[in-house]
Amino acid sequence: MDGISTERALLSGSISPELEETFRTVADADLGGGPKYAPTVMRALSRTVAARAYGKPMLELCHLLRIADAVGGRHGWPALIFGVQVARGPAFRAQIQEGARRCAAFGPDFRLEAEGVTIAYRDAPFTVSYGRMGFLAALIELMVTALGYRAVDAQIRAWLDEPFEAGRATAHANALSRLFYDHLKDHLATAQSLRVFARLIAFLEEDRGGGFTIDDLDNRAVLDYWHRSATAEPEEAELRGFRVVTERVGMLRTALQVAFERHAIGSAKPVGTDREAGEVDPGTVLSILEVHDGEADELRALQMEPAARVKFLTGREVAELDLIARLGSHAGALALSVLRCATFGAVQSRLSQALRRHAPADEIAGMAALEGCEPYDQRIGHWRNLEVRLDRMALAALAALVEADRAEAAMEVLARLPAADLTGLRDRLPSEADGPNVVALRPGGTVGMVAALADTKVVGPDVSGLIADARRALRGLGRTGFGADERRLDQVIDGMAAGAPLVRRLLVRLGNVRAAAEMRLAGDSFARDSVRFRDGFEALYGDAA
Amino acid sequence: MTDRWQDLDDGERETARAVFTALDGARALTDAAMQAGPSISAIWSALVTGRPLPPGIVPSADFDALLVDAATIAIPRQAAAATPDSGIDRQAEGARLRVIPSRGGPGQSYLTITFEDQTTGAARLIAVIDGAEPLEIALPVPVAGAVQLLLDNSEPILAALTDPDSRLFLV
Repeated sequence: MDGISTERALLSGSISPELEETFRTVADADLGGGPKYAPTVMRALSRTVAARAYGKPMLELCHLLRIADAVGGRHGWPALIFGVQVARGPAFRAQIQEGARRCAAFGPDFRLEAEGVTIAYRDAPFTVSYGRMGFLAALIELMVTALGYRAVDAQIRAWLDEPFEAGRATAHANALSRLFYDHLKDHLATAQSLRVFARLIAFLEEDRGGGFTIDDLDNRAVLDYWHRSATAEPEEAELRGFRVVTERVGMLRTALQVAFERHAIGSAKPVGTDREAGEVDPGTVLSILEVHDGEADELRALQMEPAARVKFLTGREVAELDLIARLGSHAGALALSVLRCATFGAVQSRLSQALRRHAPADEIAGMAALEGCEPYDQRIGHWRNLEVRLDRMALAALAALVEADRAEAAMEVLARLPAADLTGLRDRLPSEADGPNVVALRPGGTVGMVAALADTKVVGPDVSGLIADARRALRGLGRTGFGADERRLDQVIDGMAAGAPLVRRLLVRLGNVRAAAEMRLAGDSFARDSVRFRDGFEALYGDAA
Repeated sequence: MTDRWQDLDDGERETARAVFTALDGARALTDAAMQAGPSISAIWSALVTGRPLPPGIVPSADFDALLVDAATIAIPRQAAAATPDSGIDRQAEGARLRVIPSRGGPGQSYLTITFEDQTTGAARLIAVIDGAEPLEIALPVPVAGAVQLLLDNSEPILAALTDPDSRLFLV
């Protein structure tokens, strides 16, 4: 197998190269103000597209297009959809307010509300919220990029030329859905995903018997399946990257968990018996994805506003936490696989890169023989250091919130010390309007109250000790956002408030994975695993070495 | 509660397949890394704000359609070729574009655009030829419904104007 095909074999081709390019184009859209669409919007879009659950969004989209048509002038819908520099609620609100001043229809037909725009159809008024517009704009940009401007614009014009009635939107939303569905049929490679699913199930049936349970999708299954794929003929295996196998086993755990839950509640209605024929309940699939795939959003949320105003994590730290965040609730069960990904998987990644740049054979042979592979104890030590850094970031953010007298500081204290008694803060409240038994923890309006968190006489030694630790963590921290001048800016403090709980939760995830991995390690684990990986790498890359 | 694979019926197994497939597809989309061209909104934004067009645009019927919607005036393909020496004369509803060799400056030509409606104007001229990135040139503010520029004959946009397949857009 040559270098390129080896690399391709490492990747999972669940989508066509055209769809990959289309999606990347939208994700990278930048009108000069940074990424137009937030990573969480793109992630929500990926779930909606993969679940083929765009029926309801298309209906919302039709109504947004009515608004855009009013703002941009007849058939001028692109002005709002494409013209907004950063696709967030406030930007849409500002542009719509601006357009409303020039459009006579605003007032009688379109009402600007606090949270969105209500279209006063005579048959059934419809409100599109500002917060939803970013997602809908990303959806239509994806459609235009995939299907072409003319095809989509023709459908849109047909809708906009209809009489002004909400009831007519459904037919046009369905037409847009069909257009998109027909395109995606050829680009979302369901067959390949199903093949991977079937091979994983067949492997488990063979290895563990037909009575296998979710607990059989464990670290040994990941390693055994990977080793078998690595040493199989290319046409007999889709997954050859160890990390790819780990992720797919995590997905299979989710999929089986859902099936077992449905079985247990005795309402086993299939979400679809013939997907190609459209007998699917995409809404059900989407809701499952939102729960199970949403866990990785923590890491992404740290990289977007407002948390992104503070450099909580370096790029390297984000990369180190990525797999743990992706595996979500399965990361603990697959902790040893996460450790193998960070060590042997890293070697495989370097091997792929070396093959891509046509590195000398002896370099490839050295890597395949595991030269430079980080041992488990070293990686565990590295994770411990990362935990210390994450803890420092979360503590420093807590100190910054206390310094800014933000109520979120009290919430962070309670998250760390659930038994803490903060009733002493009540006396510091400017008003007793919330009643004698309530400590108001809403953001803002707590002048001087939060600062009392550092006062042992008010909150006791545990809390004041925590705040003292937090202040020590903040001292001398050089990352963006933590400087004394930066901490005076409201936007930075908003970033601290958003980021502190995210970092704390990531810290817990990492700690759990590290502890679970340590529990499963024996003295000779690394040596025994080295034999399996060396063997697998030899089968995969031996010809190139 | 049983949680063995063999106890699941066909419908429940289909549920597992559907969820796995959707998770796999969503992950592939999120991880999409293939080099991308300019986005539609970046192109549109450049057209309406006067910023240069982003690099990497591949002309297509869809790009032309977008330009038609963004432009003040669109001048379609013409029937026959012309040369800067013989003069170029291209017309569309609302405007006429001519290129006339300069008598005073050899190797130079005047590009003149006349608007039928004197209140009409355009900030730039974009020429689109298949197989090449679009060319653009900034236009001065019209005086009495006309703009005039003196261009060197080596200007790439002049060559584009002589191409009968080129589409011209006053934006």
